[in-house]
Amino acid sequence: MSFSYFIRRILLSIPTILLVTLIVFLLVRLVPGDVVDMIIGTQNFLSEEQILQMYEDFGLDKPLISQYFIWLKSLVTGNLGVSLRTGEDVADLLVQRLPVTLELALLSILFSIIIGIPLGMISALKKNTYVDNSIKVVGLIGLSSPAFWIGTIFIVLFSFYFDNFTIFGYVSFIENPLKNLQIFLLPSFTLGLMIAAQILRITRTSMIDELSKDYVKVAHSKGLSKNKVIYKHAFRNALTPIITITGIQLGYLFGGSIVIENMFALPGLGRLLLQSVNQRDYPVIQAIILFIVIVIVILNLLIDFIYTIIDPRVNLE
Amino acid sequence: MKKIFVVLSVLTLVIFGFSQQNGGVLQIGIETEPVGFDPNLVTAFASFRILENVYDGLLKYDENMNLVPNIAEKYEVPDPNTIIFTIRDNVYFHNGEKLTIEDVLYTFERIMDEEVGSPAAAYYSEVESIEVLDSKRIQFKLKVPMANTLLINFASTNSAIVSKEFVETGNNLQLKTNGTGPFFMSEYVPGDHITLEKNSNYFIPNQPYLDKIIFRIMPEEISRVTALRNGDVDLIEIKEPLSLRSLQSNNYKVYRQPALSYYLLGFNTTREPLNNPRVRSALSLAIDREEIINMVAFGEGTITGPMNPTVQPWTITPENFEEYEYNPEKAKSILAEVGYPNGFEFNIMTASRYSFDKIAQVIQSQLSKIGVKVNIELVEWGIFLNRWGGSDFDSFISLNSGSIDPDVQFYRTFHSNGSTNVFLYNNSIVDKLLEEGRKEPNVVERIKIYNQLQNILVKEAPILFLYSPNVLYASQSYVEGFKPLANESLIFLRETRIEE
Repeated sequence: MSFSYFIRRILLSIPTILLVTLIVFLLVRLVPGDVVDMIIGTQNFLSEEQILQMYEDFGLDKPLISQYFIWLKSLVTGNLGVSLRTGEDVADLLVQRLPVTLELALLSILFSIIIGIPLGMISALKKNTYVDNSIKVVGLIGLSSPAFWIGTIFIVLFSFYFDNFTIFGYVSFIENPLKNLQIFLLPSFTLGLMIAAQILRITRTSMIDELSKDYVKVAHSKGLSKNKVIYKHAFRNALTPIITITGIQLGYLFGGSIVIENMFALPGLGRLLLQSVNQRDYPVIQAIILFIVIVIVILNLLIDFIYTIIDPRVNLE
Repeated sequence: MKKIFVVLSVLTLVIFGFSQQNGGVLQIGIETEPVGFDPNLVTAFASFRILENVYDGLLKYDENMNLVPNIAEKYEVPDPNTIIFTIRDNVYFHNGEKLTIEDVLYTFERIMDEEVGSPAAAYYSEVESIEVLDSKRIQFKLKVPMANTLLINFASTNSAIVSKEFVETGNNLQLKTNGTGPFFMSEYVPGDHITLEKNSNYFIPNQPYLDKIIFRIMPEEISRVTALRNGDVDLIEIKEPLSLRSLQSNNYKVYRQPALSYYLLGFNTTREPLNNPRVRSALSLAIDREEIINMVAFGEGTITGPMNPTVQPWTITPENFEEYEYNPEKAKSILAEVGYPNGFEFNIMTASRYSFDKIAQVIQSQLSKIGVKVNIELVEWGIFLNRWGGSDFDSFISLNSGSIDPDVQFYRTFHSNGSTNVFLYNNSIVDKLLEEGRKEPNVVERIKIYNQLQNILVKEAPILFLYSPNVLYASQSYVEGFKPLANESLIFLRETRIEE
């Protein structure tokens, strides 16, 4: 794999990102209702002139296309603009909120791997047995239960049976690592469960697939120990699709975090995104979506890179 | 003599201090996040809830919604065109600077400045001049004799006094606060919490009692209720009366206060057949308000006429209106008389917030009994506001904030030029009454005008006034002195304390 390949991939992703900026920009403006409507609410005290003045102050009086280029121009200079509702710097907002969502995402992925891969392996090894079927049912439930439902169940259960368990009240890891982990336990477990179900299924299928291949039979007949065959040979080859799914899910986590952060009162990016959409705070919405898109592009690149490590046959040229 | 006085005052202070059980931290779970902190500019409900504890106006409300002095130690209305405020001498901003009469003047000039864009500017549009009389007194001269009507605006957080020096040195009040209130804002972590700390220089001795208040932003009701049950917070806002069922225990206190705000079914009075007042008042007869309160709010509400039933001396209570009787048969016969013997069909626009959608569903089922078919249009809030502003609806369910003054309650809503008259209601008699009521200095005459107006509004029914919900809060049993107000203000946090 060469350096030039990466450069090419990065250059190729620029048109993707540009296209996304345009779509996001237009989408948020196509939705009826704008920030001025939200400010006025149903209790209008403002005069016609004041309202027009507001549109002018926000730069919303200009034609769409010039609004887009003004935004793009400031993006290129690294300026994400300010929130229309509070006047805060959008870049500052992102920096404030990012650690929460990042921690939530990483812990969720951790949970999903810890739960998903072993269960998937067991399921594959005990194919079509009572154990396999039970795991499949659990996986199906996990896959089809919405996070807001599971989250609510956890909140209610924990508040009932564990009197001293703190569910709410975010503190940063640096401030109080133990409390921080306690606060993140339920939300990341809830989110992790959803993804665990996906990882479980893909692990099962891909393990069954590998275990039925000839090289596994050869390894067995060579007299290798069962564990060695499973972990060193079959599992390693089964990993490629598992990593793909995990990587894609990491992107989806940003979506899941919108619901979970609201439910568990965590001050992350998902919460900020929902709030900004509700208030039509265009610069904030645009910045967050743009950020997520860039993260997903980078993730895809990383996944490709990891393939080359796991499977030397893969050549990224 | 002087020594004895000092000793005595120290003693009283010590005794008083102990008996008041000062101190402690109160954590409150609130639903929505504030949007900006400039008291003269904010419009978001959640911003008011924070700022009313950080800033002070010249006047404020007591627990029964009467106007009482605040930064002003007294106010006089020598004639209906003049208001004179005398300010206290011991008020300091949180940065240590003393509040002067210049700050008061500057605040109102700022509010009335078109460039600033304050939502309060409209209140003061009839102010002719503001004049500083001496270092303690300021005089407002009005173009029309409406001094008594104008007074309540001085208790609004939008009219809170800001520091001239602080604003002019370039501080952005939307981001930084510097008030005179019982608490100062020490921390704001967006999306998470706001911390207020005790202002030990507050101009009312011994207040506030709490050392610190932490407002935790928890958008989900279930999260707030659980956090209370779990002991993570001490006080929560309740939006869904059903939650009260899980708090029925001596460990919790429930606070309920009938709100001034009211639910309404508003009509587009220009669309067939809702442009006919008789059709609209027939709908009033076919709607069982009691049932709506029971089904939607589990009984946590009060049927209301055009003015909230608690607001004296202005209100006409609902039992005095014949249109408030639940009488579907009569409704049906009226519809037959005006040409709709088989009923008709119309849309109600709603959003899924504050139970709008649930109210629409109950009304839909009630009106089906007189053959009127209701289609519910459930839209997102931003879309709702957009269509609301453009009068793009047959009818809609909403919640209007109420007032203790009939001019504030009615003018902008029902005057043909009113800023929130999205019903396109146009009645020259109503316009005339509203204009007269605003200028009438004599209370008895004013009551007559607004009685006539309320009767017309119910008869013509450009909107149907449905009910006023209860403001609901719940706390741990050790929280003392908290009172929610009818305008949903949290101003009583300054008298709240934590019992051991």
